[in-house]
Amino acid sequence: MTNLGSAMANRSGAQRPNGTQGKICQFKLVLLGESAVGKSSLVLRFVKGQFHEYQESTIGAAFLTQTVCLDDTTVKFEIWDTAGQERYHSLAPMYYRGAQAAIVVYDITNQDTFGRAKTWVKELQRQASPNIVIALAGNKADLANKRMVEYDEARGYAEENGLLFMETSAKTAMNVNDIFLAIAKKLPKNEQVAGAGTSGQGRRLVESEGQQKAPGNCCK
Amino acid sequence: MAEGGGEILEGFLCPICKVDLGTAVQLHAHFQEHTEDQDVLKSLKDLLGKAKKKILKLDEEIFSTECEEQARASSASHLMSSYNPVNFEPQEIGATRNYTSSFRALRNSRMERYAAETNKLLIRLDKLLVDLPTDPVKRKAYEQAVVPWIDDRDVKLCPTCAKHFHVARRKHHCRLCGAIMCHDCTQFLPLSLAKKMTNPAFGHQESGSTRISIAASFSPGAVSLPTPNLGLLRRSNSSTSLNSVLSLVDTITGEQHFRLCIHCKQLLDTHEKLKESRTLKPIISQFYERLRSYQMEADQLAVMYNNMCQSLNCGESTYNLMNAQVVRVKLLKLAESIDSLSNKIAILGTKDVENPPRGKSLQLQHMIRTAATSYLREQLVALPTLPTEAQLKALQNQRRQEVSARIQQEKQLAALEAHQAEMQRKRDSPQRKDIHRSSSPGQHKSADQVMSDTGWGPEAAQMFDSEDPMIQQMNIIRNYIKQARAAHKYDEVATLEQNLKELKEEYWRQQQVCDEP
Repeated sequence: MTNLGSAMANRSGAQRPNGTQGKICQFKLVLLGESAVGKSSLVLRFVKGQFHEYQESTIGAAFLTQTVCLDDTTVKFEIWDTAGQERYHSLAPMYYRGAQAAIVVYDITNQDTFGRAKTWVKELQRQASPNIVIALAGNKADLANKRMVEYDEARGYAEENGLLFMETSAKTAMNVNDIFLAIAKKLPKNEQVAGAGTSGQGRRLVESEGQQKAPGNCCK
Repeated sequence: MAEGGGEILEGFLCPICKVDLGTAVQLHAHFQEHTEDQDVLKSLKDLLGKAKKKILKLDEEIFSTECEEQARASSASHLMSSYNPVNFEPQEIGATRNYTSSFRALRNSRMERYAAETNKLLIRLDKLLVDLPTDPVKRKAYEQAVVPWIDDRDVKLCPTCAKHFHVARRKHHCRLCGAIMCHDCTQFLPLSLAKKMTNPAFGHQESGSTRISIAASFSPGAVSLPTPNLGLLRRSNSSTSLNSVLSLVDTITGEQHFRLCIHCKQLLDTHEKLKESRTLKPIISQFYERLRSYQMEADQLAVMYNNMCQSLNCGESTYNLMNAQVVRVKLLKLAESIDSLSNKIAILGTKDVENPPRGKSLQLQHMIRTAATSYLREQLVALPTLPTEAQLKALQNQRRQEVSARIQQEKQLAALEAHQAEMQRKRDSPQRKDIHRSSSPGQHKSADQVMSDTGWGPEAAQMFDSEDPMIQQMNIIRNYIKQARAAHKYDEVATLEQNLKELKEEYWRQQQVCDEP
């Protein structure tokens, strides 16, 4: 019981400084890509700042959350890290459906994973919400000496398809936060812009002005 | 007012040609010239006469209507209607003029005078304090060197109490302006306080307790204070000395002080008060800030609690009854502290007999109290009640039944659709895709405002071996929900619950497809 109480105190304490921020937006983000390209490692780096050399392969889909602050907006990512193995592919549509953002990951030391990434992008363009923000991440950029996918090739492909593109490394943390921030910046922050009736795009959860409202009958 | 010009003319103006003649004599002479022009005067008189008549007539009419109102009710009401202020159109605001800047300019010049005066005093005080001799005679010479004293012969009466000076009522000099007053009208400034005034760093550090130290620096035995801030030091008759030098030292506390006139003391006091008010928040605003922080906390908790309560009353299992009860208790405690704090604000200072809060400040205190009580009434007293353990069980059972009934219904519907799909084999696959997409429940529950500064991710689960990845995933999600609930991440719980529901629906749909012949 006491434990619970302190947890709540912490929460409300953590929240108050953010009272000045305009709004909190919540976005569903899904990670897709061939197995062993480093999806879970990317998320783990982003969410917990950790890196495991021998990351176990994901079963089904993992769920994590992380909050980033942009100017006056707090963006909360609900991250669905899907398993890359073929066996779980039937689950993927459940998670990219209704997602506002997707990161398609490939391994720069493996040309096949880049091909698989392209098919994922195609599938997203066909099946996912039309406003979805897609980012292409060439992971394992620390292994540049074993590079098989050229930067310019991937860059060109991303430009053609209107994708955000970065080469990342979960191991060295290179570009990991950057790619999530870039996505957060590109996501529409209010309902008017989001529109399109997709599931709660950029749900606006809090409006700080509402909270700061002075008590009713002051200075009347 | 000149027509159309908008400017205001002042002075000895001719009423006909509006020329400023400068003096009354000239205006008179000038006006004589106009009288030769009889027409102008006549027309002027006519105009005035008409206006006079009109006004008188109106007055008469009003008077008569008022007198005979009851007798001539109908006509009176007709007449009255044209004068009834209610019947007039709302008046538009005419030309407005902003006097703030001119007021500021005026005020500034005044304030500057006071500021300059005060600064002069402070500089002198500072000079006096620097190597002030302890020997009374030397000290007097030093003080006279810093501030020129007024000649004794120039002053016959004490300027404050207007009494004659004689052997028993000796002349004393203000050490800051050099003016003369009698001993009874003298104000004393203790040296320690003077040092505090001239040393800004010292004053700043002590700002929190300045007022207290002022009060404390006067010894209670020797002091009878007309007001708490003006330190009028009356000395007992027995210690009345003929030598003003001796009075430099308070006989009781032994503390040294400066002899000041009432004006200098007032200036210094005002200066101190200003300095204090700049650094010290009044107690009421400290209280109010605490009140606001309680209210903010209560707002946040109330949103969370309402979500929990709603969910529980619907029989959902997203939240735990126990958690909701804890939040409720917290909210009630907050309400209690808001109530007592606002009450404290309302009666703040009312027990102070000498200087009770009046006018606007009293009104403000009452307003805060009223606002707080209405806040409590609106926000916290009307908190929805939680179901009891038994009620919750009943609700959950009811919901389970509802859900199963709905699933049954959906099954029937889907069977019907499947039947139809079979009938239209050509469009079989695209239609199924349509069903698949349209039924995806994208609408998330509006979650509460829990925000994690650091990311949250559940621990890697133990193996959930199952043939079907879908069942495996459901088990994973169930485990995640458990973890999220344990970590009080209710936002995440809601999302995960949603996903579990979707998974179940999807799984069921797949089973349907497989069952199809």
